[in-house]
Amino acid sequence: MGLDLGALFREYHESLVRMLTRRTGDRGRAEELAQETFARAVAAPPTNPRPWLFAVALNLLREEGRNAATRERRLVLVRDEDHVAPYEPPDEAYEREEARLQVRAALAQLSERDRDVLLLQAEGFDYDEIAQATGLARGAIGTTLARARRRMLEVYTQGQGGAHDARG
Amino acid sequence: MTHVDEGTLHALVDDQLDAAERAAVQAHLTSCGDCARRFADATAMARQVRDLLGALDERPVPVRVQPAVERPVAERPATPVGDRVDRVVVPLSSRRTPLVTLRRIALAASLLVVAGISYRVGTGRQEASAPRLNTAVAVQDSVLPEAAAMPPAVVFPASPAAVAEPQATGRAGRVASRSMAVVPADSAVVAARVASADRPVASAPVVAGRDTAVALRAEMQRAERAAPLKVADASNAAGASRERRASSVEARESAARVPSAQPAPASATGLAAPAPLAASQVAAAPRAPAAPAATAAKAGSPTAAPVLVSLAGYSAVEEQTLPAVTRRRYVSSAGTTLVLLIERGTAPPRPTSAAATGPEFTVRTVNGSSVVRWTSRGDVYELTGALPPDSLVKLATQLR
Repeated sequence: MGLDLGALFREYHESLVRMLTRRTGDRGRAEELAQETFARAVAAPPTNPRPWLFAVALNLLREEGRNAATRERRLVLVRDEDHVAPYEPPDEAYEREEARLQVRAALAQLSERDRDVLLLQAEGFDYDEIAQATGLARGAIGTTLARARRRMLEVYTQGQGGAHDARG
Repeated sequence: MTHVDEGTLHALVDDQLDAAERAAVQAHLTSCGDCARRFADATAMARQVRDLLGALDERPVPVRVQPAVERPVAERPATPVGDRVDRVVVPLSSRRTPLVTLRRIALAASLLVVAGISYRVGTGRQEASAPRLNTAVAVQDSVLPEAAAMPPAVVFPASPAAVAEPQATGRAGRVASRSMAVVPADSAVVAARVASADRPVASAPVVAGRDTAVALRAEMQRAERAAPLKVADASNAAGASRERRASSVEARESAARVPSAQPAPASATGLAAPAPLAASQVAAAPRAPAAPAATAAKAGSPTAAPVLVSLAGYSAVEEQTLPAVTRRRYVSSAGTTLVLLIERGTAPPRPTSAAATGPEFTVRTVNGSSVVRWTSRGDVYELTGALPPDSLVKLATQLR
């Protein structure tokens, strides 16, 4: 049975790009990684696509520096040229960008495992899928998430405090 | 049973315990105030982290919808399956609340006339003329909520009639809502949808050059900027900002009014924000987790029990009511599970003027599972289930 790339793409592309964008802070890079991920799915069709795709994407992200050679293999599935963001007044755009930077800074302070688990959970993964995508034991996911969430909020709050002090 | 460990509490929050574990943990929570508070904390933490991560997205992900303008589920188009790589159909966007001013349509029409664009209309012809497709652009006029954050113009093929007479409301709307196709790379179909009180949805789709489509879209945005729409719509930044300001005023007022019931106004503000834009939420949120004492006080403080109404077609199979959190699970005859989570006392009261405009739901969808959030009488409600967002919103409406 052939791989229904269309169905796979339709089902997971958006989620994958969102997760990678959250992870990298770079939409273009996220899309490139997603395309490479789907290209790999064509080469070796996965049986359990969702955890597989996300695991591959996260691995690609780690190996990215070494992967320049794979650029040629990218499938150009979609060129979504019209990313016209809704208009936002500059002060609000600034405020939102600032908030985004702070969240990103907090996320960057987490361990890779904590970060991955949070991002996967945010994409609606159940614990089995998180375990498959990360290689963690299923029984450890709750604990990992608990720690990751606590840590994320702590780090973020500290960042906020720092930002306020600096301004104050 | 000894105290429940942190991981298990989070697994309960995420609905990842099997039935036996869940029953055991829930039994313990009813008798152990400590664990009940920790569960409330875990619930709040999970939500705050989700909101923080949402702030990383380019556009606000949660979408405000008003059930009054929901289309029936039956009208949603069937999802087609892309069969070739170059014809992958991507639900780039789907639906935004279809309340757009008539002005847009006039603008669209006039722009195209000025530009002297010749219309090419007809789904079949477009399909046939797209053999060398390298850019697949297709938009499903459907129900994925992310769509609401899309720019005003959407791209889809539509009926010739709709071009000839943009006011052909019913027909155009229906055709548009069902059609779905891959559009050639060198052209784009631009549609402006309009609606007014007496006219549900109309579409004025035209086929134009890609540049024109982009220009048109930009023009529409400028128009929108100049005259913000009075629509509850996350993509409308001006509207959202008004709400945001209202929300902070609301929070301040609530803090002033009921200081005793809200031991930590800052925390209440952060927990309350159902706003689609993350910034205000994010700015206020962090204080909440940093103040466990406040959370505990909140958990212990007596608040009115939420009114739970039964859901048509669903039976409540499980309910757990703790001081700060109520969790209720519903199952339909078809086996669909819904989870309703109520965090009490974490939302500021809405001003009566806002209450008069009807319920406001924030929806997000992740891989087929939707989360609808709303506030009512100071409580934050979240209904989660593997249902299309509009169905879930309908169910949520029943619960209000």
